[in-house]
Amino acid sequence: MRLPLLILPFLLSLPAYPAAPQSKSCASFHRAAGTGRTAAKKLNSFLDSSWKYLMNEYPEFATAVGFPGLNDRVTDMSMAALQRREKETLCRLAALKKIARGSLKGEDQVNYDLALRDLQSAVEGMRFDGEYLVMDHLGGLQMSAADLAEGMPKANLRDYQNIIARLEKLPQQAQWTEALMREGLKRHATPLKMHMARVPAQFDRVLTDKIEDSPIYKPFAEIGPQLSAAEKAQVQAAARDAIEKRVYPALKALQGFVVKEYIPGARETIAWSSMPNGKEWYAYRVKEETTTAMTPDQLHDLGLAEVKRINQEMEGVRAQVGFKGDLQAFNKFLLTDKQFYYTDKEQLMMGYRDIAKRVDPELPKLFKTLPRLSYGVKEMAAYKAAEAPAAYYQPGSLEAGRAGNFEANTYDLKARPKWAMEALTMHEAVPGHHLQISLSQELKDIPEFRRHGGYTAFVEGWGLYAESLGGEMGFYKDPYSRYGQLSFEMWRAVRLVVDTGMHAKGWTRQQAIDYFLQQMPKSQLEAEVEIDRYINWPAQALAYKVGELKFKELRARAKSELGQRFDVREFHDEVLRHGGLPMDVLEKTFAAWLAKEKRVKNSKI
Amino acid sequence: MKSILFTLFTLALAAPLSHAAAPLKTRCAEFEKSVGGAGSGSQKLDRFFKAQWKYLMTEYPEFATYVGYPGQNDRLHDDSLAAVEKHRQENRCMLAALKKIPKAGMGPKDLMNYELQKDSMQRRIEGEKFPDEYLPVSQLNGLQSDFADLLSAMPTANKKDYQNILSRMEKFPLLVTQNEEVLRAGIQHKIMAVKMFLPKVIDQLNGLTTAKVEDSPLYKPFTEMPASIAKEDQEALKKRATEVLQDKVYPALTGFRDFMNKEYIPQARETTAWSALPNGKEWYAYLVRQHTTTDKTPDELHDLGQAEVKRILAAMEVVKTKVKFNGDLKAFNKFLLKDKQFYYSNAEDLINGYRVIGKRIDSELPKMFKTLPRLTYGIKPVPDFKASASPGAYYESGSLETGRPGYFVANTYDLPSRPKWDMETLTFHEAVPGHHFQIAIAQELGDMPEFRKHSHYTAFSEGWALYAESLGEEMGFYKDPYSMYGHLSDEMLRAVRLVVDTGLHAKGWSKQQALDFYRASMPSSDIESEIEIDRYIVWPGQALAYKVGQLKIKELREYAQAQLGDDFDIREFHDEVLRHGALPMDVLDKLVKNWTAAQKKSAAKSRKV
Repeated sequence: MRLPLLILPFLLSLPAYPAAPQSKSCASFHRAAGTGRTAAKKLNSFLDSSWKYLMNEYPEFATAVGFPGLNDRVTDMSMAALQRREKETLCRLAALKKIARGSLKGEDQVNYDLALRDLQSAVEGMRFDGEYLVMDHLGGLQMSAADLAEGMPKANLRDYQNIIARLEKLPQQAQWTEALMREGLKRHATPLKMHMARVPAQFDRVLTDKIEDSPIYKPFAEIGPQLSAAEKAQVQAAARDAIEKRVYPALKALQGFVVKEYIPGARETIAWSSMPNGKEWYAYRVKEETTTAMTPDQLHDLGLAEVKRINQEMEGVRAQVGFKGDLQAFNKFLLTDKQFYYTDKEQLMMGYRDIAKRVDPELPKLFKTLPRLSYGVKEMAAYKAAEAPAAYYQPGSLEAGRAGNFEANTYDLKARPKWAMEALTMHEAVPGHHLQISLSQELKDIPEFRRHGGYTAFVEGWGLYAESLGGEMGFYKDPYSRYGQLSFEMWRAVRLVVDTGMHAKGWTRQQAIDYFLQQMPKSQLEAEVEIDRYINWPAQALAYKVGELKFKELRARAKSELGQRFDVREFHDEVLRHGGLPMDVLEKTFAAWLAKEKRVKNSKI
Repeated sequence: MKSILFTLFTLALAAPLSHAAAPLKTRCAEFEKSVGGAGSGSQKLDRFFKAQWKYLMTEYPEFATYVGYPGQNDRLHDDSLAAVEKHRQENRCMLAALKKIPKAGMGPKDLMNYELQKDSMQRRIEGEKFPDEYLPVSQLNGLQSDFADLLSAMPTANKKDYQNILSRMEKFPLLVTQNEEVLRAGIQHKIMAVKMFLPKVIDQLNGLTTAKVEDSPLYKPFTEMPASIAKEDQEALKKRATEVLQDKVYPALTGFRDFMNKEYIPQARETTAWSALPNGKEWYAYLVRQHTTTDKTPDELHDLGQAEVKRILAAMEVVKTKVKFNGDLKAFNKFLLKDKQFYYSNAEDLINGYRVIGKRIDSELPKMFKTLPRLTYGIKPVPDFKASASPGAYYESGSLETGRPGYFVANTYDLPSRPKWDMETLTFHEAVPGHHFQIAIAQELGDMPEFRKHSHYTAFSEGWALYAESLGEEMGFYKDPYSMYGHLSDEMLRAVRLVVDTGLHAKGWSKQQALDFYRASMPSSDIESEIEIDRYIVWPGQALAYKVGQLKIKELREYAQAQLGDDFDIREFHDEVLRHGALPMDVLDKLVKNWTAAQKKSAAKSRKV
């Protein structure tokens, strides 16, 4: 359910180092913030230079958004680069603050506030040791090496030469990674030992005996007719040479370090509060992910209330289908009865595609602006499916000629119930992530950083809210599918309880797993995967329910204030047309719209 | 295969010969006013287009519904002969008004719009000699099928929307009366529908007047109403719908059926060639020019068709060899038609199969196109009441403004005539990157007069859709050789159309002769081939547009590729072809060649830097 794209907020949280003399780029930010006669022009010039800076610093992100010319480069993750960027973040903040916010109007003011907020929270995050957490069982070089070519253009020889150029940089990246992990060990900032213990096997899956079997080589094996036979042979030979002689040895060395040094030194307690500066760090993460001022305690209580409410609705469906037994038994029935499972992967994929193609035509009824970018439904790559969630969304790029993709996990078909498919499609594809993210990417007249930014509360809150639109669009007619939707909502309510439980209220991993399993139809394995994820990504899981409740609240407010004149297409347009926003800013833009709508509508009568 | 807009546009293009109806007051003053007063030529042109669009939307409220133009959903167009006469006069004064606008100082965009409009008005005047208003009903169109389509395309979000539907139902009997009047006049002028197809019209009429009103396709909007309408309001609206259908619409339909049975059918035409109609030879040549937007003669097209048939046959042979089939193409075609592995036994599975293909294509589109439409599309079955007379599939356009998606409508009637090997190519044609893609992009063009967003040139739309089929291979489809064969046989279909349409209407071919040629060229069932030939008989010239348009787009792509070499970018080329909306072939040719020259220049310049 998580978006792979949302790397920017993480990349922005950089460590604190003593201030060094102003660099060349520092001066250029100040210059940019002073260019132009009006404050608006200055702001735009600053944002433009800041965006280009980010693209250059994070070339993989540039590839993801379709920014041209950097496809052969990788992000410099050396200590020196981290230090330099941290200093530059401070400069950017100082430069931005020189612009007179009071002279800005409308959307420019929103731009200013968002840029300021991003930079301030990056600075605030410098106190914490996030930059040393570069590898765990959910991500790291052992996975990104295999994903390297994913999302990169593959239309001609030049594109493949770029892929090889990045491949050649993997050994350097392995060295940077090791250095950061060593520093983490020193500072006691590491992932959980039991999670790290799974990582060596992940290395093994990438470092196959035969190069041709490695997922790193896969994109080269799959070269299509866009290259001539001679070009194809040339590219394949270069790739094989790089992988065999340089990439494999570097990754094997890194694996050796992980096994011998890193795992033995890794953390054994689950609570984030046990990390250096941990309590404050978790509070910071909560604020960042939810974009609200809610405390862990408040979120915990909100979760408990939601669990109770949704539980009653689930009871209703159980009674409707006439199941004899309590919810626990019903959940077990849903998990085990054969009628709810496919036995063939292709059938599962066809099922998702059919649902997606049934949702597509319903969208114009609820949305007056739809994205231009299309999306597909793709089977998740086998090498990562075992550890991956049921599905995720892989953003595309119209500029780069790449569709968005709802990637579905077909590993272990007994864990892919039919009753979950509609809600999952609503969430990942449309009207969920694909619709919201593509619309945001395609926004005109707003600075680039807002087209590609992501606030988890907004993005995931929207994804969850989108699930709830299924009913209005004629889905969930089958009561089991409706139950699937409810159990998905329950899942996010439970997250409020267990995330805060583990990181702020002393819950154990087992306690969290038990609570989780009690509330919804999920297998033991799924529960463990989920709980382990909350352990690794503290507070991230809080954003879903917080964001969804905000969208529902705003919709209810618009409906009650506009009455008969409420138009859901206009409402959706308003909440999506600014791109992803923090909850407080969303509330402000919404309130301004509502006030205007009321004026307009009243004057018509 | 044919968009609904086509019907509406032919409606808009229809102009009368002469008749003795009481004259109606024209709206000529609106056009004169729009081009008068102060302002530059291009400002006047802009005002003129606005006035003209408003005129079209209000004269043809059904068209307004499809387009999403507001405020017309409770009205129906005037289908009387007097209205036809009025529209003819209005077309003439529209042209006069347009000609008053000074062209000096206009930019190329304005000039293009000016010329496109002038040309189409002049063609309409030319068409006045050929009174197709006397032919409002056939097995493929007419009040017996269009009205149900219209109702199902109307917005159904709130109470007002439903009141609009009721209002149109109330006005329907007048439309029926007007149609009777027109058909009677047709008898007098000896311009009549082909007799052998009319029993199908009777069947369709019967399909609308079901024993239980609630089962009628006309009642469909009321079977599923949005929750936002209060329960008691829903009940009241349903009750009213039942009453109006029972008391007004049904009697009108049964009256019309009786008229058809007793009066019209006995006198209807026994010939099939268009040349058998008064002024028929000239009329057919005119239709050929209209549909192809070229000056090609029926003879030239016939020969082009024969050459294409030969070329495609050779490609089909290659596939047959690849699958190691023992026997000739005829036997292979028969095998493809009969073998069970190629057919579904369940309609839901067929639709599901189309949806899966549609979704797979969706994810490949950005590789070939840099601008995609915002409007989404769905896939649904042809409604039962007209499935037996409908083609294998067609596209129903949507409207982002009114919240209606586009639909690839697939026929699930008679499953043994819906082979799996045809599904990929059909989806490319009807949905994406074919009709839905092209039509929705045109609808969404900003900064253009409205007529450009909704203009329809058969050669462009159908040529594009056939060209779109050919993109399947580049996009990773047709990997299964049978699916490749399906693609080839659909291209063959369009080549055959050049031969048989001209054969039937200009070269004295009988229906049987056309059927034989058709069946010898591709795998086609008896039913399907007969539906096809019958269609060419009632829509002369329309079927020529596909191949003519496709060959033009292919030719332009090859031209640009040869000119630009490594600098050729397929995404840019497609953008250029689609970004002006539908165009006549000569205009498209000029635009793409200019674009190629500009691309070449800028590529050379960037190399120098």
